Amino acid sequence: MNNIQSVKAGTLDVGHGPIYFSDDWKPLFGGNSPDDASPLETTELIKPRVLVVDDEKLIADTCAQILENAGLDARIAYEGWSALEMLAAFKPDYLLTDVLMPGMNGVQLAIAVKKTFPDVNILLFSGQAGISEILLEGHEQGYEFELLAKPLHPSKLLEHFKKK
Amino acid sequence: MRAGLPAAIELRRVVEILKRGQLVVEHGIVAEITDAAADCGDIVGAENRQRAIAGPDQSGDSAQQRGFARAIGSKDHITATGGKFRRDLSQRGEAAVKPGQIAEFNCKSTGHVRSIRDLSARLRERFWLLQTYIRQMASKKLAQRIVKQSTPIFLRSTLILEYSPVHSASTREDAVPPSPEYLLAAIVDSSDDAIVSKNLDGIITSWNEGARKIFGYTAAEIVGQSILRLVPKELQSEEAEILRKLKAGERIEHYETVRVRKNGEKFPISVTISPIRDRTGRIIGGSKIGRDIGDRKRMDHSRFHLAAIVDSADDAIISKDLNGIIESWNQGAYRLFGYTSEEIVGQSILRLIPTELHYEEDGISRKLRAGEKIDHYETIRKKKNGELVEVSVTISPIRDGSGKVIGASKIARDISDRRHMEKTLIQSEKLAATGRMAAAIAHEINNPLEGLMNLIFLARQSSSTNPKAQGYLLTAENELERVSHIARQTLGYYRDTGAPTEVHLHELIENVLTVYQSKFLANGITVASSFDNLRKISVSRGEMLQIFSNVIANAIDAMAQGGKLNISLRRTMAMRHDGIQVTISDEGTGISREHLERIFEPFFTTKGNLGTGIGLWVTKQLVERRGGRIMIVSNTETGKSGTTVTIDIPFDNPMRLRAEGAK
Repeated sequence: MNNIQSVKAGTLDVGHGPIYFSDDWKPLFGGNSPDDASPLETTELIKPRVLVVDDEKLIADTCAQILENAGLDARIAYEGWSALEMLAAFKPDYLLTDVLMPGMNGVQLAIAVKKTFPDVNILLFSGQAGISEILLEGHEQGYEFELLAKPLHPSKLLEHFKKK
Repeated sequence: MRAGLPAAIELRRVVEILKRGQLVVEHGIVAEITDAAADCGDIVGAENRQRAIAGPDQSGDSAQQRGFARAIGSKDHITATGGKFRRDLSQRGEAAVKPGQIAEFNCKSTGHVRSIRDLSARLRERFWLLQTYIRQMASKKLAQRIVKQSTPIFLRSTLILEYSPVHSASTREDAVPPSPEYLLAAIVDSSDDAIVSKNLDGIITSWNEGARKIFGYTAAEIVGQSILRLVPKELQSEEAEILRKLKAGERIEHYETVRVRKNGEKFPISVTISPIRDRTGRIIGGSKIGRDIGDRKRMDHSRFHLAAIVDSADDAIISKDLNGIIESWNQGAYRLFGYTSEEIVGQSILRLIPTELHYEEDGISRKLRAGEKIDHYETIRKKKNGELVEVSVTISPIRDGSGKVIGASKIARDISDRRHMEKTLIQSEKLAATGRMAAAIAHEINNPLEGLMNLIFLARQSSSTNPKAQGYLLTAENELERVSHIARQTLGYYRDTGAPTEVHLHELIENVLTVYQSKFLANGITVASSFDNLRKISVSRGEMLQIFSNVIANAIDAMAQGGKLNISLRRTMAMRHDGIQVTISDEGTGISREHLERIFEPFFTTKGNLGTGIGLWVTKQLVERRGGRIMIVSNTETGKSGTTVTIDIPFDNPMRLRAEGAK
């Protein structure tokens, strides 16, 4: 656990892009609560990396924190273009992205990521109902993405990363 | 102006503006021409003037006839006296009229002319005009008292009026009562019909203005000539027969024949011929009243033409009088209402109106009487077979020649089909609007919910040392889960969880069954399924999961005491909707009749606090959006109770095809 904490701190110090972190969360890290029994504890040295993209800061920040608490390496982008910029350096295993965002939408981002980094697992995360047309856009170009519906309980969200 | 003497007055430049048969404004000049007339030497006093009009010779065996003939233009007298009188006037022109002798009038009528019923409409107007003039004169002190019985006599545009100046006490006696002959002469002369008299030899003895207009000959040209000049050669034999009948004292009425004008043109005419007798009753000639019916013939033609149009119209075209009695009925009306023309003409229009709407007719009649038109009024009417039909009606007043409303025409169009289409359109519009709203609300609710859920989760993790705080947060999380559940069910139904994919429906249902496995066990429910080997179907996986889990969850709730759940899939073949039919039946408590009617309504639930009343409503929306159908039958009878839900889903989605067709 301590080990993880240090790695975590290290990540912080490097400061890639707009990464969210707050001192308030520090005592949490290490997971004393029962919910925090991370399955990833045993593989702490190769922590899966998740890039969280959402234009709603609160959601992006809390999701990233939840993932961090569960022992993943999470970074945050608040819009598509900065997400793309971070991609090459961060090399995430997962991309968790909102769909309806100003500028580049989630599906466009997902397609761009899939083209350059085909190994990235992509999860679309949306609270919006009227996104079928955007999804259709991806479908027409031959891309199918898994879609998670907001609101989703954090424990359910974490399940998607356990599978790997 | 000589006291006590009748005066001659000329009426010039009269402008009559008729509005809906009502005389509104007249403008013109009345000139006193007694002196001018007197200067002619022919007509000075009442005696002479009378002579000028009616002819001086009141004696003799045929005085009446001669007077009549003279009055209507016989040249012996009128041309000798009246003609000179007129000629003289025209030579003198207006300059001859002295200042103060001209009364200008310009007045507004306040109503119809009613007082003199027995005069022709034209004369009535003139009479009114005259009265107006008289009033004007009185007010201008030109003459303060007019003898009441004074009669206007018109010869072309000249009128001669008797009046008495006020200072003469004896004037009353001087007043000459109107002679019926004057009146007749005036009527004859003002008639638009040709009025001609002839003797028994067929020689024309009188010729009025109407005859001049119709035939083209002036009185001077034709009086004294044979009537045969007016008859086409091939019809001249008619004349002998007419004369024979006349001699026998017979009257010939509305005899339609052909006559010839001065310019040689033949034209259709309707003639009424009556014998003229002298005082002793001896027949001395005939009067002929002829009316050019060329116009009428042409009108008849256009009327038939119009009738044909009316009859071929798809709309019902009906006319009725002001009492609501049907007067005409076209083929379209027969098609719409089912009554034949024979059945309904003469009946009240109320037969077409449902009893509860009879009051409408009063309002319609009131408007019509006021001359108003009723445009595209949508209402309900009743067919012969009692069936009600939605119609759009346009009703217009029908007027007679004088502009008086005498009835109404009604054009009715069946709008049932249009109405039905409108309703469907409104329904689908509503659905689309609901969907759009749900999508907008979903975004505004789901995102904060996600944020809240994450925050509480994190708070729970960070306050792990405080068991009380842990408890509060856990409760908060549960409450939030409830809100999320409702949001998912209400707003989520619109969510399209990805493009349609080809799936095996039975596999999808088996997935749902797996989810509920623990509940089946807990409630003691056994599941029997029979799935034929079916082809894949293109559906939205998420929507199908929602449909079947809603229905299966209901079945589980209904079988709290256990039972058997039957699920079967079979292929259906229909003309156009080849598809899959899923039947899910339970042995639960069943749904009562009154509830069954309402189960698809939103927020209707029998599950109390546990239910949202959304499930089946959403299910129905989803099934129908996919182009399918959902039906529910239920039985609450003990021992046989249970509910069967049948869902049909076609292989082709007609909704999608339509959407693509629209692109």
